[in-house]
Amino acid sequence: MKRWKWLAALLWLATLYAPAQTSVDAESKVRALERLWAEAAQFRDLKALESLFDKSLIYVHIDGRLMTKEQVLADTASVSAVEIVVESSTARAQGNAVIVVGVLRLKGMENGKPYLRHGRFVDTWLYKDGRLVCVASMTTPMQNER
Amino acid sequence: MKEMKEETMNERNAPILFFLNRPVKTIALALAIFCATATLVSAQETPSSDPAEIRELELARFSAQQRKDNRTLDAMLDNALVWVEPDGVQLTKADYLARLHAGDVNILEIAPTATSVHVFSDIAIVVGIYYEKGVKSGKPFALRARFIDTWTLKNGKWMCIAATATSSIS
Repeated sequence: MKRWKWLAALLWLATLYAPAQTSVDAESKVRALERLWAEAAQFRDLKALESLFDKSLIYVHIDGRLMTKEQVLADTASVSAVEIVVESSTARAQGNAVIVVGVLRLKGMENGKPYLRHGRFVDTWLYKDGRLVCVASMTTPMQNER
Repeated sequence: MKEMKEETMNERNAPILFFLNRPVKTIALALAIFCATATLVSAQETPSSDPAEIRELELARFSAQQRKDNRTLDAMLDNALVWVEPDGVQLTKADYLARLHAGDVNILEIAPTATSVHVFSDIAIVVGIYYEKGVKSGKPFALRARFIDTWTLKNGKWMCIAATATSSIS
């Protein structure tokens, strides 16, 4: 019986030093979270968005506004419908973080006029309390590539 | 001859037999000591997570960019760096360094202002605005851009893994 206790202790020690997630796992999870983000933003699902963002999120909108998590949620709730399409993206795990870079297309109405914007986004995701949350996001308008 | 063969086999298997003959308690104790030592060594290797240190690194990066000091930049930028220019063009580390070294842009002044640093254990996020003045293709230019840089601790050293900027500031 005593031997089993020691074996259990051994296994516990081993789990402490095993990597929490492989980088491939983290990258595929983040890609799924990015898809969820685009859908939640499009359908203005604030509850889903709330769970994706860290409380100290740093967000720079495609129009250049620097926003907090609360501001992003309030903005999402107030704007008219936006079609968000992630045209391409790649995710790369770097230690405890995952960096996602991609191109998105935004289509909507602003002041009664339709608009179409393309932007390059870079998002930083981090493991916090055992789950992945977005801590920083910036979208840069693409001026010369299209 | 047979005895000699057995002896060689026993010698070869000696480390395995050593562990097999020990009680589990001894192995667990050895593992615990190993883990504790590894944790102590790792803690000693971790540099300060002081935001002031990250701010210093940012200043050094901008300064190296102005001086076109590719050697300093090479040491600060991770090989898998994601670099996005204020006009949305994405560059690799190699692209960025080559462009800086051979490009037709002469940076006369570049400096970050109003930066804030957020440290999450081994990841640091820097957000701010920088002002850049220079000459491009013989013509003077000036721009203000908002930037977010992401740094991570790698082998006890802070490395920049992502640098993105936008000239759209509102």
